Amino acid sequence: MEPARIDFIVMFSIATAVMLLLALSIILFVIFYQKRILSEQLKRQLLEAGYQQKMLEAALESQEKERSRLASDLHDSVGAMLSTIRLTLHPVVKAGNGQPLDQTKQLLDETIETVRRISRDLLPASLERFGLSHAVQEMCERINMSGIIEVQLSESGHKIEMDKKREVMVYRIIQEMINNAIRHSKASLLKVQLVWTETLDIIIQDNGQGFDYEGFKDHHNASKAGLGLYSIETRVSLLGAKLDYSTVFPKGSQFTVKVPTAA
Amino acid sequence: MTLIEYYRLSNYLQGLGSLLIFFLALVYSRSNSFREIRVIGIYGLVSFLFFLAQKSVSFIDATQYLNIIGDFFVLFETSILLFLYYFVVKNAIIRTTILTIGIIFLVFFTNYLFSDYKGLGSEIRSYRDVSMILFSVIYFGLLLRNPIEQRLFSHPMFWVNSSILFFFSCTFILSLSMSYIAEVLRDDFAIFWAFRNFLRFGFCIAICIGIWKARDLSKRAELT
Repeated sequence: MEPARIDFIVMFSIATAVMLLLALSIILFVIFYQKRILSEQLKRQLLEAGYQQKMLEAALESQEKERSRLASDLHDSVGAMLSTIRLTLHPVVKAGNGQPLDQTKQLLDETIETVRRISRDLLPASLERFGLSHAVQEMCERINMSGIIEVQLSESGHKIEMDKKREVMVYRIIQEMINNAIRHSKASLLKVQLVWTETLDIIIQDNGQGFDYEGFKDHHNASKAGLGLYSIETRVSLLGAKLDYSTVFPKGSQFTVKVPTAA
Repeated sequence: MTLIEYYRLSNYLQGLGSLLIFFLALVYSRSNSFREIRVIGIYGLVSFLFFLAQKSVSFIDATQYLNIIGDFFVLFETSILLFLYYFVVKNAIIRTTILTIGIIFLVFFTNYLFSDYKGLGSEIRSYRDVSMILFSVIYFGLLLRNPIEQRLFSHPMFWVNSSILFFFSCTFILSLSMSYIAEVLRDDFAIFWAFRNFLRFGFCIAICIGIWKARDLSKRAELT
């Protein structure tokens, strides 16, 4: 082979190899740089999500504290004052000075009961003292006594001790779901099931008109309305739980929340 | 296998690659939200038609090699690929640059064809390669400036752009020295051209992967 030909082939090979290496290095640079950008974006998103979660936790905690303060103020001062008024009124009623005083006493009894109810709703004392199951049972009994709707509560599995903060959040979820069913479902029967396994499964089923959950979410996400559902979803996400909705045949709806018992 | 057989094999392979691009683009362009696939499909079709034209001429007269068909292919190839970049890039300055480079190429090609036609076209091929390298690098730059959310490997234009950068970078030296090879190393021309054809087959396969990725993305988009 002539030297000029060999020289050309060598030069050609080197130059082509250099071009090839340049092209490859550009492609590799793009791949790695894009990976780095994406991982940085992911880190930032995780940080933001963590920060938002902490903000939400703090907001809910301060809400619970405020509720607790209001409940104890209502119970200890307004409730106590009303009870004192009732006691001072008792001898006058007994003396038999007439019907208007009987009506006043009845009104006062109703007011005392309303204050107690509001206080209980704000912070159920049984939740603090006897735990979640008892508090839910008490709530169901109260609704049954009011006659608005029939609530059937059932519980199965071995109860697992939960952190008090988590218990309050679970209680609020159940409370909000029952309130929603009473307000919107037009149901006559509400079944509440607490199933303790490795998780706590809360199943709330009604025989009402049912509703388009996804459509409702899409519509209300834009308008920031549907605060009840929003607060349920916020608590569900803070608990690391999972919320599912399904329609019940022939009519009604069912919400299932799977709550991890440990944080 | 003799050298000529290698050359023929490489030639058929690159023709097959063009046909594959056209068929894949044809099948997936209807259900695809990536409209650039249609431009790539046109590129596949034009490449295959030029391959057929070149083959037909050599069947009629085996001793005759009409380089003018290859030269016109360079014109069409450059125009279609520049249009592809014009289509995918939304930046006004870059679009104007693409148009300017395209117009200069057209003037350059016309001038080459009518006044200084020597029949090998090292200049127009080098111009094409440099333009393609330039715009593929610019496209990557834009991709880094506005990173896409999905994985880079599942982005169709990543495959198409990488293959353009890779292929035209590798053939640039060949384009530059084409006239020299044809005049001085006439006997070795088939080796160099077989090298270019094998590279082009790889280039076509990478583009096919890009079309396939576009299909995957469209399917996922339909499911969600």
